[in-house]
Amino acid sequence: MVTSSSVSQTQLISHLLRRAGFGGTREEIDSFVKIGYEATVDHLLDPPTVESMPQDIIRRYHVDQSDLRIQPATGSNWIYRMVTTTAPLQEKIALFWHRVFATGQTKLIQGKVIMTQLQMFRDLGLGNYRDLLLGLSRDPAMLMWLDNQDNHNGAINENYGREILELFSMGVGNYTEKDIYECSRAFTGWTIANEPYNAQKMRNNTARPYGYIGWQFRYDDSDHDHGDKEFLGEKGDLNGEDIVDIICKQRATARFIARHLYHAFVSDELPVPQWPHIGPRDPEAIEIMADAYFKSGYSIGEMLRATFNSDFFKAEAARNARIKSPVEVVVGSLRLAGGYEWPTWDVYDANASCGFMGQSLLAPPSVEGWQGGEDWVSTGSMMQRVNYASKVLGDAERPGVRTMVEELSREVKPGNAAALVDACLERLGYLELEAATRQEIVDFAADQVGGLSGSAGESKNFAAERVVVSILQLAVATREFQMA
Amino acid sequence: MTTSASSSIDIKYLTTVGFTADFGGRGFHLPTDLAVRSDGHVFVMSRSSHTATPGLRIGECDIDHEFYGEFGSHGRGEGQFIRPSALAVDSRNHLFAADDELNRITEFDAKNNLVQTWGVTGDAPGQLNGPSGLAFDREGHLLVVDHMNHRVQKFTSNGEYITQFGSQGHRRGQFNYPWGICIGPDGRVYVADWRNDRIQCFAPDGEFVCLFGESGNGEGQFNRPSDVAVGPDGFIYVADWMNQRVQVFDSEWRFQQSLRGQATLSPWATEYLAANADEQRARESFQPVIEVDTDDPHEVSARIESYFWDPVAIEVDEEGRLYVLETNRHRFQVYETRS
Amino acid sequence: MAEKRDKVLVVIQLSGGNDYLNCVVPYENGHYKDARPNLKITDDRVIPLDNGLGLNPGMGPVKDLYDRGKVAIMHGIGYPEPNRSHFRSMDIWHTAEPTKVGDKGWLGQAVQELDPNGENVVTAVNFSNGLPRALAAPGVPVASVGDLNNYGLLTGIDGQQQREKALSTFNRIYSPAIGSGAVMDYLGKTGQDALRGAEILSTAPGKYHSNVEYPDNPFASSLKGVAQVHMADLGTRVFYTQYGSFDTHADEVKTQERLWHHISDSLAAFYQDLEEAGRSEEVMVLMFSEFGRRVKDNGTGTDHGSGGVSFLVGDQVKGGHYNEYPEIETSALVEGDLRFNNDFRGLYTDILEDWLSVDAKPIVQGQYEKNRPFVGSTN
Repeated sequence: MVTSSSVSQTQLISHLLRRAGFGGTREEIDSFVKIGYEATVDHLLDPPTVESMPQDIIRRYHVDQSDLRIQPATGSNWIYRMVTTTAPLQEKIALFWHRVFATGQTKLIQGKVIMTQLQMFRDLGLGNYRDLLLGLSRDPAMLMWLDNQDNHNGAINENYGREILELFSMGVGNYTEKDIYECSRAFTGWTIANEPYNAQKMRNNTARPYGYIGWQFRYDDSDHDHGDKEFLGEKGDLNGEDIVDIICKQRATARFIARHLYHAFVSDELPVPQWPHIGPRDPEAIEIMADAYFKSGYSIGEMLRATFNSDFFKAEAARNARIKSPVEVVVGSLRLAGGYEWPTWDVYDANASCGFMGQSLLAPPSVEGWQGGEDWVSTGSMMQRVNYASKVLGDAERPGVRTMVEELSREVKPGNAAALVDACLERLGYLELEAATRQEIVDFAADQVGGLSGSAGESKNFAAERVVVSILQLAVATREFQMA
Repeated sequence: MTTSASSSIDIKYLTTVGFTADFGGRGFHLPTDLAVRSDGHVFVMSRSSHTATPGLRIGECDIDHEFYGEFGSHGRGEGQFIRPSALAVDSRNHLFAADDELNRITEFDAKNNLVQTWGVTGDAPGQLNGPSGLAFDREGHLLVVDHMNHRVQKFTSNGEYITQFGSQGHRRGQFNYPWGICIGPDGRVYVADWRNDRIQCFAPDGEFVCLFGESGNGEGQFNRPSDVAVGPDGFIYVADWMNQRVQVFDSEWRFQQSLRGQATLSPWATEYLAANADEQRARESFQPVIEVDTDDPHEVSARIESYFWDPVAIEVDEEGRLYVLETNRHRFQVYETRS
Repeated sequence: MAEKRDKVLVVIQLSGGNDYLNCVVPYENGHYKDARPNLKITDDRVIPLDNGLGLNPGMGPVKDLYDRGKVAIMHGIGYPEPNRSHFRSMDIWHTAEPTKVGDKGWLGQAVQELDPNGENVVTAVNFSNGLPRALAAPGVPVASVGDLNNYGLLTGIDGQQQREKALSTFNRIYSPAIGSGAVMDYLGKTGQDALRGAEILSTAPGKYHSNVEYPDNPFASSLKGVAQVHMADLGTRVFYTQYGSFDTHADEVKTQERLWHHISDSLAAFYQDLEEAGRSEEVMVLMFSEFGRRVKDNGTGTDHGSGGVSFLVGDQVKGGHYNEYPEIETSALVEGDLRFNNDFRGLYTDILEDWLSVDAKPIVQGQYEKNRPFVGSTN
């Protein structure tokens, strides 16, 4: 990476937009530079508008994105939102919680209930953690995902009671098996309406006779265990709400969530099962975030504000140090390239490509979600990542690429290869390359420019555009583009 | 003919025809339009999902649950479709189908054999960009809602251009992505002006007559109306798509009632449940209508199986039977209307 | 055959749940006729086999191979506590892990054994986009080929010359000389491996010469691709293909027959291709589906069930029936489904140990009764 000692405001804001969003276009970055870094953080956390392609328009053309039954429909619908939203951090936080609270339609079969869950992540995901955890505990998709419909007074199913502690709040080592049992008792009777029929349809993986029936939370007091319980030292006829209150008070919860946020927004952490044994990469950062959690009354947004404004986030070691997730590759490419002003069948290709790269949305491989980091990269996924980005950024029919090509083809002239390449990198959201990588692309560009006079039969302008397109394609085929 | 102002309408639920069949066969998949032939045969266009291409076809059945078969498939060839959108039957019992991606009209004869296809992409007169609604007028001309061009065009059934009306906008006679269309018993043309949340009415020659409706979810308000039908007695039915209901008006646009749907199991569904005893058993305790904790009509429809869910197209046949086609439930509900 | 060649496995995944009863049809059985009033395959349409069983009318070429003793029919295959979810059941078949969510594929682990150092980046080749869980294992490179004739890196770059130059630049910018740190190194190695795999595979169609005509159906190109790569001698040991959808809730008779026509015709061409090239001896085909379907029909189709059928096809396969056809009588059913009587992990053990020669126990996690379906394996 470029290792100048003084990192420019442009570089920092590009970094922030890659982490708190899906990367910025040159225009977006330039306009945020004008208002400054901290104001940009505020803008991302409290966007003045929250708009994306309207659902009525999507549903009219993509009729499968209304009942949202199957994965191509659900994933594509989310891609629309991520590509067209004016509030990218809202989508990024939904993706974050989708990983931590990984719920999959592979088991639930109907995708719509998970889309509803994702909307809750948008609505509550940057707010108070208590509200979010309570929303999660009442979320029909989560209840069915972790079998809480089978958690009855007198016949405890511990699945949800265990995972809320192990995966969703504190992590192993901060509670006992007894706490799990008591927690599970407190969530007895938390189920869904029409559970027998809906559960049977799920088990039989059937949308017959008339499609799916949307699930709704139902609290069945007659099936709730009203006996005395003791959870993390607190006693009483505890119900699920009390459990959530107690969980949210724990320092362990704040640290656990902080470590997840650090993994997603700052630097790759170890897989969760190793956390009880090996401490965080940057313990000080975790404490700063945990402090923000308590100071703000459990606000996730304030934890992120503290993070984005911290030195550890802005550090040179953090910039361009994470491997992009497949969704970041796909959505980042599409936001640069444009072409999503109106419904386009291309969205299904984008969604499928995320799957080919190993991140099928709404279908995480297990309750532990996707680990990320180097796990994203194999020979097969690498091929998909490189080909996807270079296909999208090489498509001059897309308005964003069209603009780049029109502007940049004027720069195609002998002896100007270095300036041309730098101009391309700038328009790719100030993409930073290793010096040697950049030099290779400059050499490639010089060769292409040099070959121009020899290409007969092509108009000069068309030939110049072709050179620009190939430089853009190569620039996004670099290792550096794979990083965020 | 128009009804007198004092008459009222009586609407009675008759039956539900349908079943989820996403790879073809008896049933439908994400249907977007239906057409009723004079002999009572109902043609249903299953647009299907992006991936379930065998689900795309035209099914033929009747309201006694007879399934006659299906034709048309996914593809760009003659008689095939990519994004089929609308159906209409002419006086010879030929079936016409529109494709809003191919910008093409396909004609089948009364035995469902392909007759011809026509249509040229563009925005010049006679060219198409997203045909989304079809209706035959009393002269036997085909009216095509050319929705991306925000206009209605009139053709002969062989595709010769006659005339057009409408342009993009909010003023009288202008459209904002119009969708469905029908011809009233008086020959007037009714158009669902989708993104303007209103219905517009035109004289047979395309002269603006009136408009009705505004955005909202109250009586006489619409949220993205997708289709309109007028009964032989002059009563008007609007598929109030995003409000997940059908609103009924008299010929003077006085609100009569609103239908939310009351589907029952079709024999096709019953037969399915009989083959799946575990589901049938579990369904015994099923409460079809529950108290919901949401105001979003789309979500309410998702949770209550008998309600309309994306009521996209409506028809009234010569005997006054009302057909409401629901995309997301792969079925249509039939009602008897009497004024 | 002049030289002893490495054995090769070709998987054909029948996605969506192939209906066992209408695939290998107990057409003389009264319970079958009772359960399938609307879609039984009648005596005049079934392809009679033996033992009162017949094949789906779409499976003519499979019958020919069966008559030549090349087809083993694995009856009643499944696993305990059947799951009727497509995803979960397929996942169970892919990971050989019915009780918990597995993260490693059975074939990915086999490839790990076959090529422990990942020296050959095309030991496993998958003919579809994306990676089936069956082939997933840490450090195992898998080439996923959508279309063999248009496979490679930077396929979006127009112009042969321009693309070649771009690829050589790509190779240099992924070299270990550039970059600092473990992550960049890892990306570099993976990128270069991907490039190498693509270059190797792209040579296959050019080396391939055959007079065999593959049928014109959507599945044939996958098996033709397998033949091309296999005959190019690139060291590929596992090929993965899939076809469907067999999810015949409606219109089953027509759909299942059509799909089997496509598969059978392609398989016949593939087998002939191998035979004419003298390359059939080392190749064995496994066909499986995630589950069978409900015994009772629903009017025009059948719904998700359990208990199914798998097939092995090849020169070295001992043709015939393995295991019993489960009882179809209503009282013998489990929740309206056939009772499986043949754990698929036994079949996997046959394939792993006696075909690919890798230790099956760590992969299937236990000992399962084998079927011994290969020539030379003793019963």
